[in-house]
Amino acid sequence: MIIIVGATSGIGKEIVREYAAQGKDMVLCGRDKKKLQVIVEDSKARGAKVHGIVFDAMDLAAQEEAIKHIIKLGKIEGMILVQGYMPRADTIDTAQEIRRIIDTNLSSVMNLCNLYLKHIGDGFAAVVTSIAGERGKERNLLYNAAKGGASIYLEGLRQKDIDVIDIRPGWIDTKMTEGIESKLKYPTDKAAKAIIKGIKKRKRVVYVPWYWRYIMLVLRNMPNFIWDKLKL
Amino acid sequence: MQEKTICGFGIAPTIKSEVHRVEDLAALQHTVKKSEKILATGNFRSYGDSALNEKTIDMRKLDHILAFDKESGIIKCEAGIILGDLLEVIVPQGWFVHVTPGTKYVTLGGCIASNVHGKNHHHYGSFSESVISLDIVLADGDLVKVSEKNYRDLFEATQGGMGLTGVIYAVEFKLKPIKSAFIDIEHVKCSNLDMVFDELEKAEQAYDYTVTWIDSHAKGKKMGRGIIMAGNHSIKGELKVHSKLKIPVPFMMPSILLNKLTLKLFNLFYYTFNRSKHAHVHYDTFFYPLDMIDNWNRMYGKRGFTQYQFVVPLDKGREAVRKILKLTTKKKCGSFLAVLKTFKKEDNYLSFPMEGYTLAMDFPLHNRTKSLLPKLDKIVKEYGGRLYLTKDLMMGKEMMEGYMTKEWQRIRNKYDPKHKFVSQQSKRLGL
Repeated sequence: MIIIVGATSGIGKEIVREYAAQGKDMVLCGRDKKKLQVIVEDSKARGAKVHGIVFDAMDLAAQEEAIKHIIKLGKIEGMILVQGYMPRADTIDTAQEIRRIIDTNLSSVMNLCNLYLKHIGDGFAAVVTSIAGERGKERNLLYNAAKGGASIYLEGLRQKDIDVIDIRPGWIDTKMTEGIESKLKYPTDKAAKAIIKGIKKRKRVVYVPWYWRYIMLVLRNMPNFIWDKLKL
Repeated sequence: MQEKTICGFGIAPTIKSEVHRVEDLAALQHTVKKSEKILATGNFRSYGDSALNEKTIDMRKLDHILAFDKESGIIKCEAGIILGDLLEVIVPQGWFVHVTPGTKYVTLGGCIASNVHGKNHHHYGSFSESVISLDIVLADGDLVKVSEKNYRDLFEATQGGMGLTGVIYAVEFKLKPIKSAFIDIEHVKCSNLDMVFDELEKAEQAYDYTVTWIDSHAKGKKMGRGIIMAGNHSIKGELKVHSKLKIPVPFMMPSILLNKLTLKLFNLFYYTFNRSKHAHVHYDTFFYPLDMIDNWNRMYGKRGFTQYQFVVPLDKGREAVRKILKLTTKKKCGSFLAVLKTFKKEDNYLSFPMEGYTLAMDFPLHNRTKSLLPKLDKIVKEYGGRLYLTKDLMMGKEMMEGYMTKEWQRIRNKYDPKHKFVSQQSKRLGL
């Protein structure tokens, strides 16, 4: 059984679809009950055994309750965290916004991985971070920091006894990138397939699509005096 | 929201549209509520301008199966699901759809809006025969479940209603149990139109599915020669899903590719190299032969093409088909595809089928075609027939007299008095 958190998100839905086609048993978690119900029923119709659990990425206590419940459902193979929140370009950085960005993209990742280690301790944890977490930039200042924090956390987590997969998507064609006009937007179904392949191979870092690995290699090693001037 | 250029399967005309892609029911209702003139769209397999509008809702992310009773075969799906994807789920579980159009790349919503028919209409009827209920988002954003027992007028007017009565959110319908994914087929080669009509009558007794490919270039005594392709679901063979392998047509071909000569040659070869035979083929080969060629419409080039499909009543139907074929061969406007089917009795608002013969032909959109079609319209009207809105591109408003148009408009005005749901076609036809 695989736990998928953020199952109602653009990428999450496609990962669920792909696993359902393979007949994989899953526990799907999301915060919107109605949306989750649709995905649970769809997966069952496609022949997978599926449970749905509702909780919000910002509610760390509810996550503990959820994991304690999940372990009673059966043997867990691994956990995939797809939840994420990126503010729209015109959002003002209030304290509330900061809380939301950190909790959804970082705190919930740490919390769920901690709980996974404590109660399951076996198998894999795959987390969707982002290429945005590799270096700080003025655009999406907070999002980049949160995602970067998650990647560093995962690096440390690797030293514990579970397989850790850091998934770094570029621009994927979902609601999150609605405001961005880009020909590089990758379709969600292809992204899901690439992610599942990467998890199967237990790769350390999965770039989606693959070419971001080489783009980020260049951008990561760019000297500061150039990086600071780039308006990306 | 994205500004996109969209077009039907006929490639021309195109229109710049503000496309709203919705991912769940709440988003759909919200988009409908806040919009003035809008149209829900599927996978753009209709040929003309029936899926075109300046503001559209892309329904393709609403593609979930909401409920599936695997004992009774009753299934409910969101309208954006593509038939081919649905088949991938249901075929291995021993189910098929009762009615399928000639391509599996249509959305379920499109099947309802066009009330599609298949090769088995003479036995079973249209897609509507299998429909139990529809969930529709009305102009005010409210969701209603309609069926024969609830909002019956809306239920009937929506099937074949071209998306103009409301947005079809979900469809509950019956599936057909199958033992195998294969079809037992028979091809009957006919040397002229009379033989086609006679053999067709015989084939319909023995087979659930029949369709006839007609050589639209053959003249004189050979006019209307063709090949009847008949089939029944087989009990032998695995429940294997169709393959996703396709031959690509990666870019637009020059319009000159499909011209008088190449079309004539194609028709000649197709007729000559096909024989009468029996065979056992996969459903993909029998129902969806053209789906194997990805984007085959691009072979017509940027100029585009139209598919002219009409139906004429049984009485004098043979005479009408003969007259039309004669005119197209005379004007040297043959197409590479001319397909003949028979319909049984059906009459429902804007739904296309009526008891009689239906012929569909592809025409490249050049001037010869544009002057030919009104002449064909005249013949169709003269014989009491009508044209298929899903294929239509340029029919005159007077052709709508062949439908229960006024009755349909009354129902549409009841549920959408301000005409929120419009299309380029509805505006052109004054619907």
